[in-house]
Amino acid sequence: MKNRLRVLRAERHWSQERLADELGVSRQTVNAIENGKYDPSLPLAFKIASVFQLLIEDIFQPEDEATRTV
Amino acid sequence: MIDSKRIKQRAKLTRPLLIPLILYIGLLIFATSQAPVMPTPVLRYAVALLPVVPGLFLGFGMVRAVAKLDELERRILLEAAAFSFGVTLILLVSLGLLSEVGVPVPNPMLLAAIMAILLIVGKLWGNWRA
Repeated sequence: MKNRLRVLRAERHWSQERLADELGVSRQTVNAIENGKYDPSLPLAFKIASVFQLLIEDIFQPEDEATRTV
Repeated sequence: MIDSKRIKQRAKLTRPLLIPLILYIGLLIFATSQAPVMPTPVLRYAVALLPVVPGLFLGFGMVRAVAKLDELERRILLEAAAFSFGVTLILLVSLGLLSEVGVPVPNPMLLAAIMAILLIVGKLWGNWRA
């Protein structure tokens, strides 16, 4: 699954640590999600969407869909 | 760069485990050295099983610590536990088969230590991959 977490975080000038605090997870988890090594659970995906005040599908996209829209 | 906040969080998680762990190791050394020289069988059994008491607190502490982990950390720990359990199981079966043909089987406490070491190795491996 592709995501725009790194871009959204950079737009707000947040560090991974800051985002991890907002989400109540470790910095390692934020890093793993950003690098596409870990797909978050649905509750965490909702939390991420809530922190950025976006919809889940604005942040996360299936791999094939992400390729199609590029 | 040293992640001081992460170290503090880790310390907060592991601190409740520290006292039971120290007690467990202390009582384990005491029990293994003193249990064989106890005068009566009842005392021998009681002293031999003394480390189980802090061991129980250690177990409860570990469960509480796991509950505080986030979802990725839990997944890493689960994979590490599966790795550790699987390898130890294969080792146990192999030792069982070897004992059938007369090979002396090591102390089960050694297997527990191997299981713990494998868990740490699995956790480090998982952290490295994430």
